[in-house]
Amino acid sequence: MRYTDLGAITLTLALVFTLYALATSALGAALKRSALIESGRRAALVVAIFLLAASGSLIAAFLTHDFGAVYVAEHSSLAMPWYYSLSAFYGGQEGSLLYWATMLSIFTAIAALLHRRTSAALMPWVVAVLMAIESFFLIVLTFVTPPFTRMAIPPLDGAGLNPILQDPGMLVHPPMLLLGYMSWSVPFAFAMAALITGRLDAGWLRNIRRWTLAAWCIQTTGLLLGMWWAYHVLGWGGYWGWDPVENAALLPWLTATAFLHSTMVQERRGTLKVWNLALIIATFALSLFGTFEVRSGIISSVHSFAYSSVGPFFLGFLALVVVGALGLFFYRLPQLRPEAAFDSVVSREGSFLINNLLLAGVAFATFWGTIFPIISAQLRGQTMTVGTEFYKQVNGPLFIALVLMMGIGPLLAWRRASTSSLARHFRWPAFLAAVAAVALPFFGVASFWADLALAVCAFTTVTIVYDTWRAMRVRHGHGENYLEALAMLFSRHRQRYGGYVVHLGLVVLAVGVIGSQFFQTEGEGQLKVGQSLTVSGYTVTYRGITDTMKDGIETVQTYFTLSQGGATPETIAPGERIYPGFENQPASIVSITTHQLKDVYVFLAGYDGSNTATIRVFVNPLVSLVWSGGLLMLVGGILCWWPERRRAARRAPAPSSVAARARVEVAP
Amino acid sequence: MTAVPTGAARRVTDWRAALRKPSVLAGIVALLALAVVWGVLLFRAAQPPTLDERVHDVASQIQCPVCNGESVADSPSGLAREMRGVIRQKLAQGESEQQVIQYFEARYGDTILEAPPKSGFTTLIWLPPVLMLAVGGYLVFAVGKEWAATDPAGALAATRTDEDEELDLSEEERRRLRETLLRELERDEGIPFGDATVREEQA
Repeated sequence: MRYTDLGAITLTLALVFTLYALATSALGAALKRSALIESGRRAALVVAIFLLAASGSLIAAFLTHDFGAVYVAEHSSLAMPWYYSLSAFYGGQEGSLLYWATMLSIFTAIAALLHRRTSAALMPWVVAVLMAIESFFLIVLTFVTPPFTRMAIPPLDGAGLNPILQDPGMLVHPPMLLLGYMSWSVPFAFAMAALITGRLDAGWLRNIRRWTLAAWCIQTTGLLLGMWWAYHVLGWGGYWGWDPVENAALLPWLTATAFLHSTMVQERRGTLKVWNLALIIATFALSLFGTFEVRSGIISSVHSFAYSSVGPFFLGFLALVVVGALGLFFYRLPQLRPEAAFDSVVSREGSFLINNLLLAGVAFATFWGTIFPIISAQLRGQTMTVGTEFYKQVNGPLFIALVLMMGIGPLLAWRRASTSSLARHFRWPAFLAAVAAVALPFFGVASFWADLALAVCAFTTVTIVYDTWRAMRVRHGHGENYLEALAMLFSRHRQRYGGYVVHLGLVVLAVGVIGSQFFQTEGEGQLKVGQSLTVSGYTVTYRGITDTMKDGIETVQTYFTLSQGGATPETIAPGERIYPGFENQPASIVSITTHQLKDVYVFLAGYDGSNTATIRVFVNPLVSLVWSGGLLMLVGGILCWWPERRRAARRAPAPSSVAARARVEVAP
Repeated sequence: MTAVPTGAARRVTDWRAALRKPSVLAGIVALLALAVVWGVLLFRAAQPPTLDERVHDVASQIQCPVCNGESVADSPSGLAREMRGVIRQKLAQGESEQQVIQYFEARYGDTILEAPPKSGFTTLIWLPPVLMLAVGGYLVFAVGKEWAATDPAGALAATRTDEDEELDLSEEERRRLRETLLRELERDEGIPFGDATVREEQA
């Protein structure tokens, strides 16, 4: 038996068990039959095993170069190193859908194992909803784009992977992003289960808090890796081009970030229930839209190597999800009354409202700009792309306002913040931000908008640091040293201080974005050997070119010396690789060297034998802050997500330590 | 017997006293400096941009016709490189930025512009996000007004007359509420449980 046969069989079995799990879970929950529910739960676990076997078979087919399998022949070749053969697994449509489905089955299994007892009432419906999503993917995989189709006469070699995908980025970015899209299924399923059962208190939110945080971390990683890959490969000196597919990945991230914040209001104050449900439905719908958009080719994008025929199926499923979810939502609307009234807009919950407005604003503008080409094509019969200027002009100010709210929001008290506490919290940050705004123009920040944006970043940084410092002082007053105090703050208020780390990371990232947006300089030139080009004090001198052939891959390298002032010159080698079968699609090798916080980014745009080389040179200040800020955001996200085991153990005997202590003290 | 200062006189002395406080003084100085610096940044005569900057400025406003959503400034394609050459040549010949952009617009239509014009059909791009923000902003504002209108003291008084028995809290309920408050305090303000004052109160 071939691996592909095993794959086809296990895939079919997975579909059968998925439908079984869907039916028994839903029926068992509706009829209150625990035997049916248990059977459905176990079937869902079996689906994960079958799909792991199916994915394993496809990977094995790739690693054994089984070109009789159409998918393997179309996406890999003998010349590819094993790790790119492995990554070709999700390099095409069939494989990436199989990857999605497999990961969903694993997440379903984890949810089924973790929440079996903690939320017994919701779980059957959670399993049913997850299995309904799973069945869509498996039906498409079985009947529309089967990954295990074979051809009668296998070719001697495969077609190979698109050169632009043969990059380390390929090993990490697509699986992370697809996993990110997929992972919103679990919070969505809990929301649907809450709507179906009518258990609309904050219980389902507590269940999904860590799922949402995990999904947020995965999506953030996927986005950052995408930015990093674009920066290293595309050759235009930037990392975010407001490309439709990038936008599609950002959209669920924005609504999910809004959701993470507004759920805190519901958990604490019992309000914003309607809004939270709307946000999680939107997040899941947008992540389906993202998965679908990459595959559909409806909007022209730099990701346009992945066109396919599943578009109508995805659109149909998306419509079904939206209509179904909204139907349930409106059915339960009368039960979604707030449990408490708001007291004041100058409060934590008020700041969350503004944060949500801003995030929803960015999401809507981005969504609108992304789908506008379709509208334009329908109304005027003319294709167009909405350029980056639109996004910069609309989203830029909104992002700066968001950074400002990140400084203000966390320091406002719940319910109502007093004027004296406002003065106490914000006078130092405001003063230091003003000092920064006055000082920065003397250090070369000549643009008003850049100065304003950087001052806002300074304000938010100071509020975070200042608040942490004051909390440390309080603990210090109780006899802890400062380091101990900081560690205790993080261990006892992980959510709050983890959130601060995320915010700080985003501020660092914002400074990087502001730096590279406002202060990028560039130059372009056609150089003969010995000639040089100078951009912002960095001089690039052309030295020569080599052309080597190895394993059928042609590598062109040009050599330049890069010098600045009196520093020792270094040799840089931008170039390109030409893969067999993709002669007119060379993959570029961009040279990026970091000098303090400035990136010198050199892209080989063209060459004329050994006579001349045409290069574009960008000097990008502060881009490295984008990566370190992103990393910091991830660390903060993981801190928030990390289980609080020690605390749970300590609290286990008495759910509320104060209650216990108070009772002990009151009792005698 | 000392003269009691009149209301107006007291206000003046308050004001003078406030000015003498270093924190208020520092704030005022910072605001003034900020106003001066931002005024200069906004209204100073801009330095004439170099030809490179002008080429980049124009090129970043035009989309590369053969690429997928990249501007002429960003695109690595050959056509974009040639278009940058044309832009450089035309600017060097003394044409204005607007003339060069119009030259390309006349050839490729207005959809080639990076920022679609805020008139005609492409207004449809700009309008909905702005409208959405305006409506959302109004909603938040309206909710805020509603919150402000529910004066907590008044609300409390109202509850007292309406639901007297609910406010007649038992000892048990009072303790439960206090515990909730303590827990919220711990979570929000980082004040540890069993703070000395709280314990005294409880005892």
